[in-house]
Amino acid sequence: MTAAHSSDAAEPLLSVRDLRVTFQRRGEPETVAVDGVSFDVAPGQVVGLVGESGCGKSVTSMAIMRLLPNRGVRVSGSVVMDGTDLLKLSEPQMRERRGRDLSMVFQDPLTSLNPVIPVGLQITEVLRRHRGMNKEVARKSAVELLDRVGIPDPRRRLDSYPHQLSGGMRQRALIAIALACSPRLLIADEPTTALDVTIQAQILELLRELVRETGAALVMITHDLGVVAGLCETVNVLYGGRIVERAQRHRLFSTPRHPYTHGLLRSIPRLDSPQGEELPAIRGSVVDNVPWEHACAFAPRCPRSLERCLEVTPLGETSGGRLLRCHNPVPASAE
Amino acid sequence: MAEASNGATALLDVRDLAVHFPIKRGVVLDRTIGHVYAVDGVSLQIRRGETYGLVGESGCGKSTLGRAILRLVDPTAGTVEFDGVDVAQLGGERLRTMRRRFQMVFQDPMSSLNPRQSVESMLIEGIKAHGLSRGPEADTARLRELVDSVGLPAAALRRYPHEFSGGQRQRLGIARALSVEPDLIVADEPVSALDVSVQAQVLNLLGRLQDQLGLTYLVIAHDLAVVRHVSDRVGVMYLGGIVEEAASQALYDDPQHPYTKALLSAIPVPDPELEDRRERILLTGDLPSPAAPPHGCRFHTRCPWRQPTRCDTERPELRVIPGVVDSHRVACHWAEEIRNGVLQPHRVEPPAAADDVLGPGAVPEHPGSVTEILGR
Repeated sequence: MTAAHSSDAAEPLLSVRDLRVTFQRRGEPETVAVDGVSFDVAPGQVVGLVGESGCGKSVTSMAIMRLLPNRGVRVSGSVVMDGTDLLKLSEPQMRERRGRDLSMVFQDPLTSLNPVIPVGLQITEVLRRHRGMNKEVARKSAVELLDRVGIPDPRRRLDSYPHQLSGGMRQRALIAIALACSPRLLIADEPTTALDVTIQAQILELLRELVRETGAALVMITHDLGVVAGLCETVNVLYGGRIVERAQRHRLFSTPRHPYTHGLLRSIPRLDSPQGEELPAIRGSVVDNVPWEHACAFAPRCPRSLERCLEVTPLGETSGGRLLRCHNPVPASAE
Repeated sequence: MAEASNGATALLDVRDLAVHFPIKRGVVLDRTIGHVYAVDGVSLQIRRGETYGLVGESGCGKSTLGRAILRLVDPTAGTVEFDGVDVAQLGGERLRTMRRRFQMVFQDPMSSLNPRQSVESMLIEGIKAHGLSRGPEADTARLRELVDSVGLPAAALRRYPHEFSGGQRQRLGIARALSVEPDLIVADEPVSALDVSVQAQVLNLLGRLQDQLGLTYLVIAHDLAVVRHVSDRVGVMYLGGIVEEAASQALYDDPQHPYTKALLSAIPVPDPELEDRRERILLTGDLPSPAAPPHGCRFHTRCPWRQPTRCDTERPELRVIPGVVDSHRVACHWAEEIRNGVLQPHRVEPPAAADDVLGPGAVPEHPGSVTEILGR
């Protein structure tokens, strides 16, 4: 464990290979939520997973954390951290790692904090469980943690219940819980979606600071391309359960090659875009998707679709540090 | 209908509107122990054919303002003049007939559509209720025209809300608002529940309909980029009051109020180059409780430009400051000094131990374990 900690940066901390998650409900055909997703996270790196609702970004994170229910769900592929496949661990083994090696920040802090237990206790619980601290020591470090995430008057806040905190405070408390055991990987699933813009800016700044100071890697899951643009080094764009484009953020935003990424970036109203003009919208919605098996899922909505797009599944091809899954990508010089 | 009259007259004229919700406590005797000052002294004018955007964070009172204008909540004070008639004083049948002229598009299209009502029945209901029915054939033609104008096939009429996607449901919400031929449409967060790729479609639709039908919009949203895109003029709300109002481009190019500046700098932009070099004004702390708004300028508790005088005692009025166009109004005592750089932002300490919104509750002192609490 300590050896992995000091290993060189080229070695990925987390390596997801061919992750596939299917949901099976009785009497209904199988639903493929995540369809062969592979990506690496290097130590201290910030990786983004972007996509709309239903693209499989949250299911991916739940699968990595092993938080999906056992019944009716099939997970295949591998999620390797420190040379062990997390998907093959027994539940007690996984419980040892959750919170200590990798932890998660959820979207809605009100539903992910226990409403009948004070915030302080929810933090000390983690410390006592994983670090074997006694009550007093744990309480002291909980105060430090709350202070670290910018909660004013942390000693008093320790005894507050979640409903007594504002949305931004709750999210800070949740981050404090996730950071309690200084994990090397933090997964944040839409951590700012439920928050206001000014509070969102505070939380993003906090995450940025924490990543810099603790050296933890961060997987940021969001639908907001703006959040990704300022935070993530590598961005994975998901569509219909597959990664359709991956690139370093500057390249992705300056020259999006996949028609979906390209269309999405153009359809968002921006503060500096010409006003009052029609936005170049992407037609249709995710219900128009076709299965990936013999086609490109995005083809029915794609302005650049060819006949081939509805017959042959495009393969993810990597060239020059960019992964692209498209038969007819936007030319590199188009923008 | 709307474009017939002169474009400069205000269709909607709101003066000193206030909506205070009482906070009650007690079982038998409902004692009023305070008020939530949701909207507190707002004046705004919307001209015919114009789109007025209202932005602000949750809890600033923007939705309540929209609802008070439509009389979905009763205003505590002030007047809402719609085409010369004070809607705030209307009641009964006169209010009901007046409602035909102002309609609302809600945020969540699923919860604002009746799941057991087909689209046809939903659309015809308003038409009949307001006596706009012109016989079965003409009505059917009108319904087809309606669903067509929002970009849905005629077959949609026979279907139910659950059979549509989110974006399509929002189109239905718009069709319902249009069915009674209104002049003003209040759209409360019309796209925030939709997927990013679908938002643009709905925004385009709203724009197209405005051009075709000469509609007047009040668009309420928290997303400044969306508001800027659709609006002619924008008002920024903070804790029950408008702090700045300007033509939308002017507001974004040259914000005057410290809150607007902070809000604009906080929006993440999907452009890494810009994100890396932009200067952020990070506000500390949260929105104060609208039940106990700060004295003086409501923003002074979080303002990086706060001054020792006036800010915490005097509530600033919306006013024009020298050097900017006179449609640009700002409610800040020190707007001139901030503008010419005499005042510089300083650090703001978050208010230590801000009081809980709900007041100190019965919290067990230092519980030792989870089971100890659950055992109570």
